[in-house]
Amino acid sequence: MNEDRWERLLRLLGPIHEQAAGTARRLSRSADEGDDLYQESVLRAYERLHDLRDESKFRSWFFATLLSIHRSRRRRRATVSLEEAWPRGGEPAGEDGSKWAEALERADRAARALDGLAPVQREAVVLHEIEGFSVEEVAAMQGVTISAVKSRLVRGRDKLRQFYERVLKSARIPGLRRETEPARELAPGGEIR
Amino acid sequence: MNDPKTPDDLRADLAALKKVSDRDLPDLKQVIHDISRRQPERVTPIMGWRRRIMAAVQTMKARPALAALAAAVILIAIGMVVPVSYDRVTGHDVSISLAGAAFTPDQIAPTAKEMKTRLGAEGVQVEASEDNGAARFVFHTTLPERSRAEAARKAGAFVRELAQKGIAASLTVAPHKEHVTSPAVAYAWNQIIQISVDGKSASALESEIKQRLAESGVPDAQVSVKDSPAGGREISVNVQRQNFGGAPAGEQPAPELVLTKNGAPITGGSTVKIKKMKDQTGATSLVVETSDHGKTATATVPNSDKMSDAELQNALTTQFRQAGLNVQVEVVGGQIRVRPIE
Repeated sequence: MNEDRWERLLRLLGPIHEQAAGTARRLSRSADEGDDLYQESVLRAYERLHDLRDESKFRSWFFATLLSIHRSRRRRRATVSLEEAWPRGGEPAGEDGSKWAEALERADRAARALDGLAPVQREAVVLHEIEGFSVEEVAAMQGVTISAVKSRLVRGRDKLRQFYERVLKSARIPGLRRETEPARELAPGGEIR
Repeated sequence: MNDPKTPDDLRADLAALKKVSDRDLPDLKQVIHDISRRQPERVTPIMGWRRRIMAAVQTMKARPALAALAAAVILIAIGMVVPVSYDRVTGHDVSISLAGAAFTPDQIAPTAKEMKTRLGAEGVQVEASEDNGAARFVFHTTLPERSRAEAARKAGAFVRELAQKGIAASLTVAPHKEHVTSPAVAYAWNQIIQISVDGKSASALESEIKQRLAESGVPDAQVSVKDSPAGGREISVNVQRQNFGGAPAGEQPAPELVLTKNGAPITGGSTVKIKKMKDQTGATSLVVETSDHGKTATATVPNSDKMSDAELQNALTTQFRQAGLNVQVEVVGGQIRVRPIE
C-alpha cells in the first residue's frame, strides 16, 4: 500500500470521518453493516484517490463514492433482522434526560420507516433531513439534478408519512401496544401534528 | 430536522436514529488499520469479466428502459457492421422489338436516336436477328425510373408513335436490378419513409407523402389526407402495382410509410393492403390484409373476379370477423374499402 496516498486520504478524511461513518450506518440496517459499508468506501477512495483533482470537493466526492457502494450493496443484500441493529447497552439516560431505551425504540422505528424507501430516496432523506446537506449538495453527491433530488425527497417523505400513519393507526387498536407517546391528530394532507 | 413539513414524530425518530447510530463510531485509524489487514483479493480475468457482467445485469434489471435502449443500440451497431446482400431496383430495362417489311435497316439509326431522345435514355443498343427469314430488330435501353408504370408510360408512348408510322412494335419492361451489399441499417433505412405530422395541415401532409413516395420510386401513389369531423385524421395511400410474366411479387420497391407525432411513430391506426393475383388460367384471386389497432388479419378470396360486389363484401367480412377483427367492409364497383368499427 502506498503510504503517501494513505496520508493524503487520512488528511482529507479526518474532518468528515464522523459524519461519513455515521451516514454509512444510517444508510444501512445495522451498525455492523454501516461500518462495513464505510470501510469499503474508504478502500475505494484510496484506490481512486488519483482521480480527485480538486481537494476542496473531497467531501462531495467521498459521499458520492459511499452512495455508489451503498446502492450496489443494496441490490445484492439479504434481509437483516433489526433486532440487533444498533449497539444496545445499559445507558441510564441521554444528555437531554431521555431514556436510552426510548431512543433505541425510536431509532428502530425510523430505520424501519427508512427501509421502506428506494435506495436513492433513502439517501436523499438521510443526507438532507439528518445530515443537513443542502439540496444542491445532495444533487452533486447523487450525481443528479436538483429537481430530481427534490422529487426523491417529496416521494420519500410521502412514504415515511404513510408508514407513520399506519403505525399510529395500529397503535389506536385496543390490545395492541402503543409504540410511542399518544397518537397525534393528522393535519390535512397527512401531516402529523 | 431541516424541513418544517416533516412530522414531529418522524423528526424525533430521525434525531434518535442519528444519536443511536453515532454511538461507538469506529476510529478512523482503526478503520485504516482494518483495511490494511484485509487480504488483497486476487481477481482473475474471468472473475473480473464475471463481475462486470453481473453488474451490467443488475443495472439492466433496475432500469428496464435503459436495458431496452441498450438492446436497440446493440442491434443498430450490429446492423451498421453486418452487411446484407439484396437486389435493389435501380431502374427499368426497356426492349422494343420491331419486325416486318415496314421497317428497313436504314431506319435503325434514326429510330435509335429518336428512342434515346424521347425516353431520355443514356444509350440504346440494337440487336438484329433473323426469324424465319424475316429481319427482327430489338432496341434495348435502361431507364432510371424506379417506377415500372412510369417507364412503361414513356416507352408505350414511343411505341404508339411507331405504330402511327406503320411500324409494328412490341414492348417489354423489366426491372433493372443491382445486387448490393451494404449494412443492414442502410437497407432498412432505404425501405422506411418517416414523415412527421406535427403542425402540418391535411393538404401539406398529403403533398409531402406524395413527394416522399415519389422520391422512393412510387410516383403514382394516390394519397388522400382528410381531417375527420369527429376528430383525428384519415390518411389513405393507394398504390397499384402489376407484376408481369409470373415475376414474383415484391420486386417493385415497397417502402414502408411511418408517420410520427412528437418524434414517436403513430400507432393504433388501421391499414389495408389489397393484392389481386391472376394465375396462368386467368383466374383472379384477391388477398386483403388489414391491421386495426395492432391486430392483423388476411382474407383470401379465390375467383374474386366472378363475384358480385355483395358476394365479395360478404366473403371478406366473414373472414375478418372469424379472425376477430371488427371492421366494416364495403365493395362498390370492385373498389374495396375497409373501416374499423368504433
